Amino acid sequence: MKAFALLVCLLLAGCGLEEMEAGSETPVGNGIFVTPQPGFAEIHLAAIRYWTRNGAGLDELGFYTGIKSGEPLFSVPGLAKTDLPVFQSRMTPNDVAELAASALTKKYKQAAHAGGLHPCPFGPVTGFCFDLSLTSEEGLEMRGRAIARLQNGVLDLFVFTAPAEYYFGQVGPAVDQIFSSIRFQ
Amino acid sequence: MKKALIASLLLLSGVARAQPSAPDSDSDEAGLAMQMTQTEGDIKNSSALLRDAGLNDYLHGLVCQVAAGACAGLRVYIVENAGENIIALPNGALEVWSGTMLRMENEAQLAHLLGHEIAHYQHKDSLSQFHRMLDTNGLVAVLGVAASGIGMGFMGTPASMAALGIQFPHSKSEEEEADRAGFALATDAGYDPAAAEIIWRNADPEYLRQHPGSEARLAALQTMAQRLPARAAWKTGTEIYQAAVGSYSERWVNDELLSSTDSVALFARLSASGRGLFRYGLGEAYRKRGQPGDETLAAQAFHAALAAPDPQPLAWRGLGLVAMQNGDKAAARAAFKQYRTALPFADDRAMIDYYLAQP
Repeated sequence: MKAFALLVCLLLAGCGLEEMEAGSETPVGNGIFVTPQPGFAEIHLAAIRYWTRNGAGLDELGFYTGIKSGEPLFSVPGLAKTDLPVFQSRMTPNDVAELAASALTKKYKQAAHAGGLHPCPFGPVTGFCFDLSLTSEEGLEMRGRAIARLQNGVLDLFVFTAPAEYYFGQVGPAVDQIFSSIRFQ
Repeated sequence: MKKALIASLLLLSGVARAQPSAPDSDSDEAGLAMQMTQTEGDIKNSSALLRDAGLNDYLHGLVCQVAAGACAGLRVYIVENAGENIIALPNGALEVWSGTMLRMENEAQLAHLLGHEIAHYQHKDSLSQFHRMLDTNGLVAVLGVAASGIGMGFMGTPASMAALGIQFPHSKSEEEEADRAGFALATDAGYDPAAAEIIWRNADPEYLRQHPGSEARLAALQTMAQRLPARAAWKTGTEIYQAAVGSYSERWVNDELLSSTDSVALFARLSASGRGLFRYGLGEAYRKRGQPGDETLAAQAFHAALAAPDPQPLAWRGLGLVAMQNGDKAAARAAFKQYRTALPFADDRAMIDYYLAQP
């Protein structure tokens, strides 16, 4: 399956693919480390960087860390930063969940929805988790899971998305383990 | 080549009177005709298509009232898109975006907007658009736009219809004629003439970019309305429209809040109706915009939403979040408790309980 991810990556100019070393703590920004599970690779294309097991568009785990007030959560190809919803330092967990749905709406051009917001451990501190869902324009049901923390007006957010059929269930448990492995420097 | 192109599009059109010869199956024109058919087919299969039979029947009925004798050649599709647009394809397909439905305050406004687009269709303005596209870019480029949308990369999706319109807006003279003919269609069907000017005064800037006009348009529509005899029986259809749209309003309010970075002006306008749902939308729009003073305005809108004839329990959560952001723990706790009581099985109850448990 990694061969497919590599093939997709090779088709995109400027794309880099790096296999993650399972079990080896990896920095993901803002002093946060996670432990990759077997089979993950990191794809980086310009400002976009995420982990995947099966390839671009199949399952994507993005680490968006150290987001400050006025910054978007992530880049979306074809959209200027000014067209993207931005984080504000006074946002609550409810707002962050809606913001993530809003950002996915921009990415997929279809209304995404956040739900199931609840507190959850983010490493040694209490963060919050929520689910995401949308139907792509091609009719593909997508599901997502996110974990985040707000600290001193700065947001750290990890978002996993995959087609609901097969891929979400296949990769989801490994993503949960990655979320459980969060450690601060 | 252009004649053959027009012939091929007329062949697709429900209003073709003569039977032009079919374009050569290998020609570019046949490709364009196929693209229109493909686009409509893709809309029918799109996950964004709203398939609610009741709402579709209502909208089709309204189109038939406005289009009168030309109704048989028209097919209407409601597409879930928070933007404002109605797109008339040259083959008689009308794509109505849900964001347009949200923005209409009554049936008369929607009737006038539909009348305008039906007039574009009846006058074959889309063919003129294609003419201009061909003159400017050539057929291959036109097909490329139709196939890809603007930066969207989805073959033949509803987005591609919008892409055609966005890139190649109607001419000013086409707009004036569609205003005149659309106004006649809607008022002949008995709809309030004053609604025509209101829809253009309220229109989103992006929609106006596709439909060039100005203050002169508003003045012309006002003059047309004044020339008609006063009639007590002009239809506005506010209640009929709200009943037809029903619970979709709530979904479209949420879609608008998700899609737009600033919906304050829209919800401020819609809130004038007194509906709690729109007042709640206004509160959330203020919270989302987050400019100085917006939290106070958000709290006012949430209170108004709770006092409305259709009180919105979600406004309690909005009040709690505003209070929490302002460090007013007592007010936040009181509002969150009200929210938990009003919506005991709310999706975010675990998070609200966590807020309530904080010292």
